[in-house]
Amino acid sequence: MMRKRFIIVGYGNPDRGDDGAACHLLDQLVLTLSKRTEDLNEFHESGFLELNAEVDLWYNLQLIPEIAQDLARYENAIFVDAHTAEIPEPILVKEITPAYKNSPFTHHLTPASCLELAEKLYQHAPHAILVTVRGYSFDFSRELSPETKELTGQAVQMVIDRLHKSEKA
Amino acid sequence: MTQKITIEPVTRIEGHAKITINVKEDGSVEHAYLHVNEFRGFEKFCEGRMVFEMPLITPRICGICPVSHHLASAKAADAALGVEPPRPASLLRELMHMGQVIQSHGMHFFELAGPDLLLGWDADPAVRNVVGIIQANPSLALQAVNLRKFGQEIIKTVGGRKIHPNFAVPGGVNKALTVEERDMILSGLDANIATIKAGLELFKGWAAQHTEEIAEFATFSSGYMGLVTPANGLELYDGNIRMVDKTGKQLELFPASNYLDNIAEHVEDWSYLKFPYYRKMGWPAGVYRVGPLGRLNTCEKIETPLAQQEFVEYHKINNGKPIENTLYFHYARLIEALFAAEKVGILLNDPDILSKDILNTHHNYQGEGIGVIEAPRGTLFHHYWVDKNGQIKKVNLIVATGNNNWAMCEAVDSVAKRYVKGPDITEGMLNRVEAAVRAHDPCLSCSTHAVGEMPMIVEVRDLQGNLLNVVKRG
Repeated sequence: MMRKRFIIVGYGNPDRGDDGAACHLLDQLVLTLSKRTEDLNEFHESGFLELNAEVDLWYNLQLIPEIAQDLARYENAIFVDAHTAEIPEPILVKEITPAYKNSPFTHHLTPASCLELAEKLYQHAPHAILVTVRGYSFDFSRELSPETKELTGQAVQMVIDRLHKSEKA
Repeated sequence: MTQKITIEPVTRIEGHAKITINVKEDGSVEHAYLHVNEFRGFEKFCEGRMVFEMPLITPRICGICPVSHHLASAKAADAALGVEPPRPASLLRELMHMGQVIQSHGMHFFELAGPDLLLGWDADPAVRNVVGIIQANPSLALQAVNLRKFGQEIIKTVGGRKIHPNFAVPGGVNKALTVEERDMILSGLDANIATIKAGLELFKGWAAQHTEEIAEFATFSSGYMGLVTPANGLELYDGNIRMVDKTGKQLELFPASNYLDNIAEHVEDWSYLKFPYYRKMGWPAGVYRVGPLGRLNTCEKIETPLAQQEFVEYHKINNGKPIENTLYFHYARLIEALFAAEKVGILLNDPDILSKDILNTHHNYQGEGIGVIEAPRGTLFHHYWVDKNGQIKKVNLIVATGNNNWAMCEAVDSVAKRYVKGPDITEGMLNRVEAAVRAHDPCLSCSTHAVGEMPMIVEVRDLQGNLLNVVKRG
């Protein structure tokens, strides 16, 4: 099966301030890498965009089990999220591997859980990394805090660099 | 770059759900508490916004049941602006709601509750999850993922977008359904009804072998509340609110607009989440349960054939009286999922479903509006006070999980007393305490207005309040 190179998966609530860091990051990717002005609207409408021949974008308020079917169609996945002060790094990049994790109460899935579902249900999980940006304010707001806005800009460049590096490889 | 970090980044929680178990000197449980941090910030956040914006804003309370908030909000806005949606618009709203019920109930049974039931409470947590289900029954696991996807596709097809529904507006909806869309949904219906029926058979098979556990696991009396049809049938989208007591006797039948006459909220100093109760009976005599168990105890029948057949069998469990076992939430949930799937077929075969008459723009300003819907996890109230310019002056929300707050606390206390012997907590004990909450399918990110994953902390304390043990789940 021919697989597309990259899916970039963003999740978080854009109405809860820095929780929406992934949404802002993906928007900036569209604005930076897309040549079509209507792409941003299309992305906002559907939560999915074929950015180019190599890269697709996916966004939702949270991860959902059916994303496993999408993940199985890619060689690589980049998950994008926000994190709190419990993690010291302003921007954390780490590899993740399939590993299902129970959620005690809620309909919540981790990226590693989604990878495990992809592997078990569809026999393939992409190589994956998680990029998270430190959030400072999770109040009701559509704006990022100045600190997270700055970090998100840096994270966008890190993601672009990784995509370019992969192209060269 | 690989870093070895043990804390998952998504634990970006503003508030935690916490369980405190107070144990006596002999290790038996004196009382267990479920504490939920709730911030009522969302209601303040809405003040000053325009009422027609509310169906767009309120789904963003959380990502778990956005459709329920979207539709309850639209109904409240209809009432505040004095505008009745055309029938086709109401059908389309209800269709979207059925999609939400199918996806939410399907995910809950197969991915959250099912592993406990099918793989065992004490099974290794590494396999006591949906992956264990996949290994045990790969075909069913795939069907389960497809069931949720089917519900999501209904929402997306009807609403025109996957996230942030922009569909229901005061006076109706802004998108009609096409023939192709109708036929596409219909084409998937039979397979998904079969999946739900397979889930029902699984549950019934499990229940037949665990009668003692079902009887002992958080079984207690309460009142019940839910929407009903004019003939007291199960209703999830619109209708009067019916309350019954523990014997099934009707306490009240009232329109949503009278909810404040019948529901009051109690406050405890150990939880930020309020405890709604039936006002006329007072606290705590007036406590009630909502959600699937509550609804099937409140209604007298189900007006679709397959679900009615299941309902009749279900009600034999307690000879037609209310069923008070917490574990039967799962059974009731699957019957409701079957009802919702049948309802999808009924709605799609209604001649009005393809009508373009979907919006009434003739407003008759009322200044106040209440919208009620049965969210998958229980009755959801949106109440808006609006000035003559359409600007929101005040908002009151009673969310579904809030309506079950007492029930979740009672279930945690009951299960802890039955299964926990402190201060050490085994995996099986912890899982049962969690399952007592999980049975209610709470939407804690909604009721707490927090974000992301909801870790749980279990603290064991002696009667002097000294901490003996802590277990944290994330």
